[in-house]
This record gives sequence, structure tokens and C-alpha cells, in this order.
Amino acid sequence: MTPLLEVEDLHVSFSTDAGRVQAVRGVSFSLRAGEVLAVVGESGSGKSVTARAIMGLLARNGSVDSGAVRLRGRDLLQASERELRRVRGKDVSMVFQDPMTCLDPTMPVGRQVMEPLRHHTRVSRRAARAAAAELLARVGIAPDRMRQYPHQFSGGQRQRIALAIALVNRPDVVLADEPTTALDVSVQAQILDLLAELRRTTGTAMVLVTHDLGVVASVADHVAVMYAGRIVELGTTREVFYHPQHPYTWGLLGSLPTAQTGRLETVPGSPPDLLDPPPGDAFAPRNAYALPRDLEEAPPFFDVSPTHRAATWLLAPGAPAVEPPADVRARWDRWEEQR
Amino acid sequence: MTLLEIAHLRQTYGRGRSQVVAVDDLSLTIAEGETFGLVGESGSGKTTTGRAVVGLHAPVSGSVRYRGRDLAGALRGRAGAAVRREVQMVFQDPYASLDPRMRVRDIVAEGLVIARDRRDLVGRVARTLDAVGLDASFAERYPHELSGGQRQRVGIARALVVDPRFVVLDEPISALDVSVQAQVVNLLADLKRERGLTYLFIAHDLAMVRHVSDRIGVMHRGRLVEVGPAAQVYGDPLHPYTRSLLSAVPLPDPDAERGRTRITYDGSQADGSLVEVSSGRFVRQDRPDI
Ligand SMILES: Nc1ncnc2c1ncn2[C@@H]1O[C@H](COP(=O)(O)OP(=O)(O)OP(=O)(O)O)[C@@H](O)[C@H]1O
Ligand SMILES: Nc1ncnc2c1ncn2[C@@H]1O[C@H](COP(=O)(O)OP(=O)(O)OP(=O)(O)O)[C@@H](O)[C@H]1O
Ligand SMILES: [Mg+2]
Ligand SMILES: [Mg+2]
Repeated sequence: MTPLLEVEDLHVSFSTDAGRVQAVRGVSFSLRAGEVLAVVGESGSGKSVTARAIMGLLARNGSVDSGAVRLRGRDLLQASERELRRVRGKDVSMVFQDPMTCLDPTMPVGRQVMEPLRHHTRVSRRAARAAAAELLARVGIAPDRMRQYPHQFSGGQRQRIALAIALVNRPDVVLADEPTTALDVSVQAQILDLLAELRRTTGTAMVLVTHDLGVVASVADHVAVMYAGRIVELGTTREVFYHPQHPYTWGLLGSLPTAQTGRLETVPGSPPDLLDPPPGDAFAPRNAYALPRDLEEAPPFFDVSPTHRAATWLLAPGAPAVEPPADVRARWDRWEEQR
Repeated sequence: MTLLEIAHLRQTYGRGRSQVVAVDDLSLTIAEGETFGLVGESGSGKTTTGRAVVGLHAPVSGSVRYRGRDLAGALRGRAGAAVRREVQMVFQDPYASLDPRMRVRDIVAEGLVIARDRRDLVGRVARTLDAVGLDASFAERYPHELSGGQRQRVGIARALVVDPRFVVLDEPISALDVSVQAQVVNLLADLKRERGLTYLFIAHDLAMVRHVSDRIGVMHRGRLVEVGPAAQVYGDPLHPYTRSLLSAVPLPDPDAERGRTRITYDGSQADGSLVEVSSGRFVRQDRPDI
């Protein structure tokens, strides 16, 4: 079975006054129908840029330098703008991290939800309005507010309107960039239920960019962990939570607030300068477990299982065995017990 | 000492039939050096409250007092510029709140420039950016050249650089990964300890709110339903909405997530008022049949 969406060795950079920002440096993953891939990782690691590149919606100073994005085998990076307009909002749609970037401040929100329906299908105005009202109600926006403008809504209400716009055509793939960050956990649960239903009934697959590891744990099938423009670990959700292999993943899981009071754990140091990324594993300078080789040579992916891989020389044959932090050891023990 | 006192605040948008009552009869006080966490339903009036508290919207009725004085009066008065500098807000939507034509360094420096406080301007801007995890190269960028979380941190740096006394933080870490969140939260804690800063911390991440807050208020449909010390509100939630909210927190643990149950709460007809059930602990008493 060919995957629904396939991203292969994607490289994206931006030109700025100071030089070229290497934002995405070789990202590959694939997604099957009905699957949810969560993408987590450091702020600035290339999650949003990856999603925008898939949609062909990079900022003007950005460009895809190499790679392929295939939807059902067809390379979207080679498609014309006209073809892309047919795909966007219908086959693939995106929920942007900042909802105001995609909401039109001069148009009532109801019309904005109807628009993609009217644009891609031959549905009557009245039917489109009914569908929009129904979907808005599902995301908790009262239909009597359809005539209001985006600035008249709260942060979380705007986010839900943006989501309704992305879902109204029941696309095959939704690229959802932090779609629930402005929602309280009850409304968030309601939205996640809606997405699950869409996935069950329509087979919609989703790339879910989020930093909320609770959301990841509750909805994702697979998790990709990004750092400095690369995926450093990719596995099933249980594999990444209970058998993490890359030290950045360890740091991320270790920064979760626990019942403890006092200072929170952080990952010491700062991310690399993407104008001039280091040659090896970009995380190595902050990584107490790094091997000399991690600093010099970019590690390839090493397979941990058929569904789990990580890019660290710690996994190379013959690498010294290291004892991970205690909280990670506890996760591994749990993983072993359950096998 | 009480720093901020909100009494019977009411805020509405629009008029006539389409009027929205965003905040209704909200009262609370925040002591100097305290962190008050405000959580609740999306659309329940948290941002509206935050904006009233920094004087961006005058109350429709009720009052906001800062250091014992009516806030609007204090902002207009002779020391208005100083008060404006003391009271800062980090906005929920960093994209809309950063001027797209300004470079990061000018955005962060703006408050100092307005206050004619140019001593070591460049150094202070650089140190504040560094404190939120943005190195010197970001100072030259424009907002659209940043990731969502980088933009959010520019908003935090802009509020902190002027050395405020009271900061309203509206979803300040919602776009940050957990490790950078921890870094920002530690920074806020350091400032609180070293300089006695006071915060109104609005957020949806209940674990983080619990971690940073001394006291917590829970909002639903424009009204407070529960107020109390953080540990008590989390450990022993009394209002059904608070219970339903806590039951919906997703746990970062896939196996635990499978067997969870959520409590639902409607409350659209509830109309009780806050009652102090124990010292410092307030719960809205709704009729049990709704
Ligand atoms: N238009 C642009 N010009 C220059 N640099 C950019 C541009 N857009 C993004 N970048 C840079 O590319 C990197 C990746 O950005 P991206 O928005 O993908 O990060 P992200 O992983 O989504 O982070 P966050 O979690 O903070 O949203 C960042 O370091 C960012 O500063
Ligand atoms: N300019 C406006 N015009 C009309 N209604 C508004 C306006 N701004 C906010 N509202 C409404 O007031 C209510 C409270 O909004 P507010 O932004 O304070 O909510 P919030 O608690 O911050 O929500 P969120 O968690 O989603 O950010 C909402 O129902 C919102 O739709
Ligand atoms: Mg992003
Ligand atoms: Mg808000």
C-alpha cells in the first residue's frame, strides 16, 4: 500500500539580512489514511515550516531546496500553483499556528467557513450555510455568531473557527499546527473527539504539531521528535514515551512539570544557530551523553524496532552502553515489564 | 499588601440583542508578590479581565484599583507614565501584537525608548532576549521571520525589559515546547523572588498554572466559580465545573490516557454567587438541580 502522504528528505531555507536560515534539514516521514502523526520538538525546530512547505505556502523569503512531498504518489512540489489551489483546502488543509494569519478580518466568520465548500464543490449557498453552521456548533461556536468578524471572538474561539475552515471539506490530510493551544482542556477534548470521528468516518489522516505531550499521548499513533531542522526520533507513541532513545527526547520528557515544587528541569544550553548549523548531531553540544562522534558527524537513523528509529551514535553497533537519566530508566523498566 | 483590587467588574461587547456579557460581577484581589492563576473555559472572559486590569478597557461597571487608586485615574494622573510602565501585559496572540515593520530589537526596546530610559539600552535588550532563550541573531529579525514560540518570547521580553511591577501574562507559554516553557517559568519565578514581581497568569495548561500560582481562580461564562489556594483547588475541587475541567486534563502517559473518564458540566443556567466556604476559599453556590 502506498502511503497517503510521503515527505522525503525535505530541505527548506530562508534568506535573511544575516544569511540563510537552514530551517528544515532533511525531514522524511510518511502517513497512511486515518493515521495521526504527532510532531513535537524544540521551539524553532522547523515544525511549522515543514507543514507550510507541504502546503506550498512558505513565506516569500523561503524556498524548498530539495526533497519531495507526495500525496498519493503525486509530487506536490512539482505541481503548478493552479493545481495546488485545487488540492489545498480540499485534499490537504492546514490549521495555522496563529489563527489570525488565515482568518480574513473583513469577512464574517460564517462566510469564511462556507468559502472552501463553495470553492471546491457545487453545493448551494443554503446547503453550505447549513454545513458551516453545523460544523461551527460542533466546535462550540454558536451559529448565531456567524455574522460576526474574527476580532469579536476570543483567542480560543478564533482557533476553533480556523479549524472549522480546515475541516469543512473533510480533507484526506489535515496539517494541524498547534490547533488546541488556546483551548481549555474540556473544549480541547471535544475538538479531539471531533477529529477522531472524522478520522473514523472519512479516514482523514493528520499531522498534529503540538508541544502538549498530554494531547500526544491521547491521540497520536506515531510521534516524530524534531530538533534544529531534523527529526531525531520517530516511533509509535508508546515507543517514544516508554522507550525513548535520543537524548533530546529524554530532555523533553524530563522537562514535564511534575507534582514537585521549586525549579523545573530544563535542557541546559541553547539551540544551534541555524545560519551555520553544526556538522554533527545539532543537539550534541547540549547533550551530556554525546559521544565525540556526535559532535563531528551527523548520525544516520538507527532502527530500534521496525517502527522506531533515532538519530544518535549512541545506537551504533559497538557504542558504549550509557545509563540514561533516572526518569528515563523508569520508563524503560516499564517498557520491559510490558513486553 | 494588596496590589490590585477588582470589584464587581462587568464588561460587555456590542449592544442590544447581540450584546455579549464577557465578564459579570467579578471580584478579586491580588497581593504584592503573589501569582494569581486564572483558568477556565475558552471564551469565559479571561482576556477581557486581563485587559481591564492593565487599563486597556475601562470597566462598564465595577472598579479596578491599583495600589489603592482607581487604575484609570492613576494612568491619567501625573505619575501616569510610571504606572503605565509598572503594569505590563503579554498578549495572547503574539502574531497580532507585534508590529510587522519593526525589528525584534526595536520592538523590545520600545517601552524603554518611550520612557526615555536609554541607559545601556542595547545591553538590556540583549540580556532580556537571552533570558527568554533568544540569542543575539534574533534581534535583527522581523516578527514574520520567527517561529510561533520565538514570537511569543519576544512578547515576554518586551514586557519584562521595562522592569515592571505587575504583569498580566495571557497564555504566555502556549506556543513553547516543555523545555523552553520550563525556562520561561523559571525566569518568572526568579524575577518574583528577586524583585517581588506580581503576576496574573492566564493559561490553559493546568499543570503549569498549578506550578506557578499561589492562588487560582476558575472562570466559566464570564464569572468566577471557584477561588482558592492552588493546592486546595487542585487537590479538592469543589465546584462541578472545576471538577469537570480537572477530569479533562490529558496526561502525558499513553497507557493512562486509554482508561480515562471525563466529567461533563453544562452550567448554562447556573446563577449562584461566590460564598467563602473556608478561609480564603470561595465557591459559587449553584442550585443543586442545575
Ligand atoms: N520567514 C522566515 N525567515 C527567516 N527565518 C524563518 C522564517 N520562518 C521561520 N524561520 C526560522 O526557521 C526556524 C523554524 O521555524 P518554525 O516556524 O518551523 O519553528 P517551529 O518548530 O514551528 O517552532 P515553534 O514551536 O516555536 O512554533 C526557526 O528558527 C525560525 O526562526
Ligand atoms: N471585540 C469583541 N466583540 C464582541 N465580543 C467579544 C469581543 N471580544 C471578546 N468577545 C467575546 O467575549 C467573550 C469573552 O472573551 P475573552 O477573549 O475574554 O475570552 P477568554 O476567556 O480569553 O477566551 P480564550 O481562552 O478562548 O482566549 C467571548 O464570548 C468572546 O466571543
Ligand atoms: Mg511553529
Ligand atoms: Mg483569551
